[in-house]
Amino acid sequence: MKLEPVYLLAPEPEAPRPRGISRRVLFLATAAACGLGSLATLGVQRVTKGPGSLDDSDEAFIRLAERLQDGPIDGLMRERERFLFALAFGAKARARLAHGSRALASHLLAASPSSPGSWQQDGARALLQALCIDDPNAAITILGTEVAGALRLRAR
Amino acid sequence: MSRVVHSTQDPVGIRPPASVREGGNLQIGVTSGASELEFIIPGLGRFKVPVSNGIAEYRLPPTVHGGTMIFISDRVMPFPSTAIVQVVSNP
Repeated sequence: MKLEPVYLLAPEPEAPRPRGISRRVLFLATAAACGLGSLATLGVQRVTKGPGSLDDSDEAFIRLAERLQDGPIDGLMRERERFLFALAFGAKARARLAHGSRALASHLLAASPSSPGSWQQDGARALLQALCIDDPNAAITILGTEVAGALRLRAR
Repeated sequence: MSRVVHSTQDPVGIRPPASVREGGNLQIGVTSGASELEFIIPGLGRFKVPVSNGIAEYRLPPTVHGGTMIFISDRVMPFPSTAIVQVVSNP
């Protein structure tokens, strides 16, 4: 009996196709990431809006305060809370409301010496804190050393 | 205990309480229809407090010390109601 070799030819096993990321999936993922990133950024800005950043609503408030500082001192004193709120927005507002800040300081210092809890003391304290909201030296920069010092004494 | 330094000039708007202590709970009545109030607290920053059933409620963190002035507004233009509340130390 004669043995003859038999050669079996089997197809090579297919290499598994690389399961990479298709262009479509990549595009969708990128678009989703951009969208989520934008939303997250807006959210952070809304929550942690610093004293230096101003939006349209802040602008309107500062314009209101500018009108107050351009008017008579009585009006500024009467509505000083609005003025001081805008002043507390930070450096940009402070620069635009410097004139009113000086007028308010002069008026507070011109009044008779204050007793504890008086409007002069509270007003001086509020003005100083609004001015120095993001810069401890801002009161000196805006009001000058002498006036800022006198206002600090009045605020005690 | 703290007291209102200046209440709002408007008959309607926001009504801060008469007193609050360091670390106390600040409740402000809101009649202007605002859905939130903005607070500016020196050393802490700017943030918004939602109004629920006409009341904005905020507990002062322990980092806000006596003598601090809290600037508050409903920001309802063109006549926003604004108040400044002073925090005073606990006895």
